[in-house]
Amino acid sequence: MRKALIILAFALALAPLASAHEGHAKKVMGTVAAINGDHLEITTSPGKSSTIMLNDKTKIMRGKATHKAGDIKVGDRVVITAADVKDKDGKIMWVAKHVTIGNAPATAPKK
Amino acid sequence: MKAWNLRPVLKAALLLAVVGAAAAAAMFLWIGSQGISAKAEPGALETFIARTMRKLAVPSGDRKLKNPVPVTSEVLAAGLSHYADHCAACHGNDGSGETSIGVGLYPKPPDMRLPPTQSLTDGELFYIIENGIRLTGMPAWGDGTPEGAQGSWHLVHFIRRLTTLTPEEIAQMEAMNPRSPAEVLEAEEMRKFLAGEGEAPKPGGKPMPAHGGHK
Repeated sequence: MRKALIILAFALALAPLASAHEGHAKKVMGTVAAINGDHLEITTSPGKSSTIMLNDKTKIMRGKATHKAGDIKVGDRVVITAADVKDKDGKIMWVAKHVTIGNAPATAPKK
Repeated sequence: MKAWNLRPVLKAALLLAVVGAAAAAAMFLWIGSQGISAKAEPGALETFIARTMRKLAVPSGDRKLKNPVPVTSEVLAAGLSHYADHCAACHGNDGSGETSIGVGLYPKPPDMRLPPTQSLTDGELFYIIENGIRLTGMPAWGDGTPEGAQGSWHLVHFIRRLTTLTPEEIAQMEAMNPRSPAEVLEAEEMRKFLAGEGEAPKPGGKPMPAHGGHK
């Protein structure tokens, strides 16, 4: 019986492990209302905002030039392509894949 | 000569059958309650099997083919244009596969800048472009004409260039990507917004048309 269990365990070890992650995408167009570390608060329409996270893979452009996260300022107009990712607690986070910063000068948001 | 004792093997086979039946029943119930989504990523074993099958699907003679088209700036430009028009919707201009269609496919298009694609031979890339890959989103583009084959060889050269594309080349491709009338309007709206035209959205102001959700 022990040999049978060893053979069975070996066979089951070959079974694939299930894995899954989410992958919706959305486009966010608005002005940067606040920057909190790697999170951007974007005002997308009156009274509405969207929180977007930046990471190492986020591509940041202004025109054809590549920029860094530190170049994004409060008041900048931005267009962001983001994908949803679930964190370890199951909460959905929007992670920016591309951020395009506008050429217009940043304007401080009025509240 | 000592005879083989097959009883442990038979017991294991019986156990495996029972466990397999139980697992199949559990999977049936789980699928019934959860559904099957194309958002998932294939597991490591499924990826290994699929890539092995993809390799086996290319005849050995085709696998050894070398690109017969000499690489020139004109050929690369033709490949870039062809790719931006036919391939970028799923594979992305940069070859990452990070597009709204690409991330929704199962399996997802590979990041073609990485070794699993770049290590394919010219012949394998050509065969895949011409014949597609069954049970994936990759269609067969080959039309059996010498012109079509030449275009596919141009693409093979361009796929090798994906690892060193410049932001300027990607911007050039974005202008070549096919767009629906709604996308043309959206792009123009975004261009004007980024250029500072119109009023920026502020809390309590006039609503602006922002595009969210599925692209």
